[in-house]
Amino acid sequence: MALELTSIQEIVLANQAAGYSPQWEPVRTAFLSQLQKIGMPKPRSSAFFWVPLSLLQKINPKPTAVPKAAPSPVVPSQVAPWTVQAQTQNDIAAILPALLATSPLFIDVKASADWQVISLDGDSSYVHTIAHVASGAKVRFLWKNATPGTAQVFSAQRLDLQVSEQAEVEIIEIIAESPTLSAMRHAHIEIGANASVRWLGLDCGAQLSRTSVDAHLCGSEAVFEIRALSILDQSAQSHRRIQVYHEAPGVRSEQFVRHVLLGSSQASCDTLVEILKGVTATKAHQLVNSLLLSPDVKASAKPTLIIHNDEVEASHGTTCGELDAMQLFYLESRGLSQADSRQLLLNAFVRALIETHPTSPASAEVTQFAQATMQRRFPE
Amino acid sequence: MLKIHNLKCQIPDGTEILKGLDLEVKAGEIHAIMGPNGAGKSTLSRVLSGHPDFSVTSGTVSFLDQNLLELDVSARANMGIFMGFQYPTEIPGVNNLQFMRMAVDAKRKYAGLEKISDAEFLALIDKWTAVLEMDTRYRERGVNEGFSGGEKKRNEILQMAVMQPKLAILDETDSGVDIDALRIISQGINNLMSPDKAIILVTHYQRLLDLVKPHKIHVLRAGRIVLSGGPELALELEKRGYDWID
Amino acid sequence: MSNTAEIPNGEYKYGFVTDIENDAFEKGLSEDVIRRASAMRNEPQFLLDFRLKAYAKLLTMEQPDWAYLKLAPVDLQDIVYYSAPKTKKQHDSIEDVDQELLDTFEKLGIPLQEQKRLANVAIDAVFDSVSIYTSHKKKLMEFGIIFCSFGEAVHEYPELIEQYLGSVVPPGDNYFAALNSAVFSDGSFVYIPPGIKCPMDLSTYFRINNKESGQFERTMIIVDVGASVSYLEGCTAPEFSTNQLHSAIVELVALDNASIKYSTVQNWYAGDRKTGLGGVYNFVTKRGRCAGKKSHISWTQVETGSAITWKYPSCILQGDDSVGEFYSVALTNGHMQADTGTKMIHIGKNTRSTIISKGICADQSSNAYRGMVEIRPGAQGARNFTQCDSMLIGNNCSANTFPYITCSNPSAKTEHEATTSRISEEQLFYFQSRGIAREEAVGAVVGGFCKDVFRELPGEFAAEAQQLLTLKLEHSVG
Repeated sequence: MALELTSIQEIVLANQAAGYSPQWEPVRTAFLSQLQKIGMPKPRSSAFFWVPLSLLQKINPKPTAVPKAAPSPVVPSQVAPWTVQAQTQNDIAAILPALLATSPLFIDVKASADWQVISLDGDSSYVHTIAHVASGAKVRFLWKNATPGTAQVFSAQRLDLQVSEQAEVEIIEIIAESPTLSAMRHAHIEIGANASVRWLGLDCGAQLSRTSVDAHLCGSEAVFEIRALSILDQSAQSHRRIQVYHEAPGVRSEQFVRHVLLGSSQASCDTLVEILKGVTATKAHQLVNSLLLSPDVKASAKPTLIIHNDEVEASHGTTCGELDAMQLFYLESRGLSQADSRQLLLNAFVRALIETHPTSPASAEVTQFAQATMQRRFPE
Repeated sequence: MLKIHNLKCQIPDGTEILKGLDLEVKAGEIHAIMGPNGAGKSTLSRVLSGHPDFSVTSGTVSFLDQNLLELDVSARANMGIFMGFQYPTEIPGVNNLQFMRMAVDAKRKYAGLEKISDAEFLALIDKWTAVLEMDTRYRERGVNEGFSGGEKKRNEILQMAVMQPKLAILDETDSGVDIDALRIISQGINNLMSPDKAIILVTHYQRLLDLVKPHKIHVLRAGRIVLSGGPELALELEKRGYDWID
Repeated sequence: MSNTAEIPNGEYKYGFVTDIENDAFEKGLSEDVIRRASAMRNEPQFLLDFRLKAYAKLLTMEQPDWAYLKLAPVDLQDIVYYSAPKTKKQHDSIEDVDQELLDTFEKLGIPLQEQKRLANVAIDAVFDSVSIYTSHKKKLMEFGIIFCSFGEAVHEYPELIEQYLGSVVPPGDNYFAALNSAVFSDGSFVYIPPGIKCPMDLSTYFRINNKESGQFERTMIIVDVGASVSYLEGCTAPEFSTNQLHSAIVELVALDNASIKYSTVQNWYAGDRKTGLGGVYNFVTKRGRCAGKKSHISWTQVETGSAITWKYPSCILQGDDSVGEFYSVALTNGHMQADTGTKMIHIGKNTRSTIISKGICADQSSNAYRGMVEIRPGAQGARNFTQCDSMLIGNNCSANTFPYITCSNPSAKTEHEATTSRISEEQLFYFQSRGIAREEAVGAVVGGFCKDVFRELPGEFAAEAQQLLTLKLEHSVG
């Protein structure tokens, strides 16, 4: 089986036959016809510009880990205000989970939540989570996969997140090192007035990982920050596509991504900021830095800005290169060995990103994971 | 301590900068190297510290009777050479103190000694940040991160104090530094000097040499040392410039 | 060259049509049309073969569809592919050129008569894609420099043409390149022999006159070892209410230690400011190949006209230590749409590229920068620096940047920065409080925004470009 329309349709039929959550059939039908309309990614299509299609096509979409159906089946009308319309989805990563999940999972975070921690299913093949965060609530989502065995695994997971005004959300997203995993993660986020979502992501290396985020800053003064790190070796690939839409005055977004590449790994970061007409007093910053540490790696970036309004503060920057030769020389001239100097600078590169995310118990976990990965890649 | 004989070196595009330089520095001496811009003063200090952009084409350099040119950058530092940079590099994300401690430990390891204890290190830092009038900011920031020109120079001397080198080569330590900072830096340098150590000051201006008195002065011009003399030579150069030398 | 200071009320001063007889085919494109046109021009076999191969390739391709440009696909059958002013064949003597044509160019501010023209700029005047006169040809020949029309070069120097034609922009490169390769009419050809620094600026001035014909020029500049040239391209077209297609190809080749500076000040008719009707579709493929070691190609452009601009002057940095540069100011107002940028492809070792792009948009226009920096695996020590800045005036326009950066060599360094800004009322008020008129103030602020690009323009063009911008922005601010 390969990742193509016919095999996906087979799975849809198999799910129907198994009778999973029949009340979601209309939603699935809408997503299926949208998939048929846009088709699978073509060469150099903008959503998958740097993802090698040959790698994508080899994926076997047959679900290997099927979660049990949700204990209390959720009816579409209950979550109707928050389900995204299929016809607006142009990315297969956004469509596949909604189409193939046996049952969507609904999470309702109440207003009283005070940094409640919720783990999202990071292991099942197809997961569609719809989360609603009430006004003023504070919640932490952990999106992590366990290291799979030696079998080829494919997962397509989606999170629809509706954040009401004044709420605060932290998302910690980790791809644990998994050379046999192909994973697509998609998040659709809507942020209300004075609410904030802060995302810290770490990719330790998968055969192919793709994380896509559509963040809509709908309410005034809303904030979206995403910081992501990829520390890759061998033939791991990490691709990100982050699209942030400034839709109300006074909103602010920040995107900061770093890649540390060894072996023949590849990473790409496609970031978009679109500032809609009439949106004033808004700020958007994007920064992508890639460190290339071996001759066979490849780093790509596409920091896109679409601006319809003249009262904005928007900037983006990207850099690519090795460790700074002058910094290395300075450390060595103080007696540190070449290896120690490199290690110091590499750790500083990684730490500098994590430190811009507000410290929390969860971010400490990310630091640990990152440090462990760095130590494995650059043993002392 | 340091013997340089007929040193020639070039930069990557093939241009020869040092064209046969000779210099000898004994323990207990302070030497000053002066000369017009482009003569090769900074090149000399960088070649001695092992900067990758400069390749030695001929000549010898011996430091404590060892062939210096055979040693890599960190080994030279561990043996006791300290390079005070004209434009110290900023390294955000690497804590200033942590880095100095690593440097001290690297040197100790090279000499077969134990790592420095917390107490001893802190005492060293406390003493020298006081002498150099540096506040606690220097402890919390990344290496040279956000420091002004004068602060960076003081940070160099702080490192010199902590690492206790045998030979310190200070490249234009006085440039971009105001009178007060210069006084403090000079104080630090003088305090660090002793009969078993040596210092080479690379400079343009007389004023540093008023505060840190050199035993010998050399004029470097067109890649060679064209004139050497005692401290009075500096006053002569101040009055007449470099053109009269031939 | 052109005199922009007297434009009344910002109206397009070049909107007139010249009444002159011309030879033209009927509309439509086919292999037969290509053969007939080639025969009319008396072209050698290798060139006809080149055209036919390109046409075959064109038939397999589709018009490109860029998300941010709103345009109907061009109907290739609705264009005339051969049109030449009924004038005597090109002569070296200015006396043989039709008076109407001389008058046309004089009105455009390009006097061709000897006593009036600029002494240090050699000009090739191209009217409806036919080169009618090239000044200073003999003088340049004394240096061994060839500066003539492309058509003439095909006959006089066929080996050079055959060697380099399509070597920088292969016909299959993109749709409009295939079209141009099949139907191009004329343009300029420059060859600078080894060691010669061309003693004067060379320039081609394009004038579209026939509203039915497409403009398919082909320019080729070859600079041999150790030589250099500075070249300027200028263009205007009358005001027509239908859209005209301008699809050109420019190929530059720089050998070892050679350098080429190519500057464009483009002021095609942009369409009616209020309705957006008419205007030129400007689709151009311009590419330079830094073939030799230490070669240097620099593109500088000021784009202020044309309804739709689609051009990406690019550099292929093949030779070790070669340098590519791109400096651009793109101004859009009214209903203009611009999608312009550059591609820098690093192949050799220690190559360097610099991209500075300034986009200014006003009214309902849209202005996009699309750039590609590609560092190939063998490009040891490559360096790229890109700065793209946008200035928006008002709330109905849009500025977009789409930069693609790919790096496959760890010793390369790329840096990309982009900022957006607007003309602040405080800045304008400050100028006005010192007695400076609002329009001039706008011009000064915008000029400051663009100064990194303007200083790359040769000679007096920097001042001209400044004036042009000021005029174009006249009704957009305040």
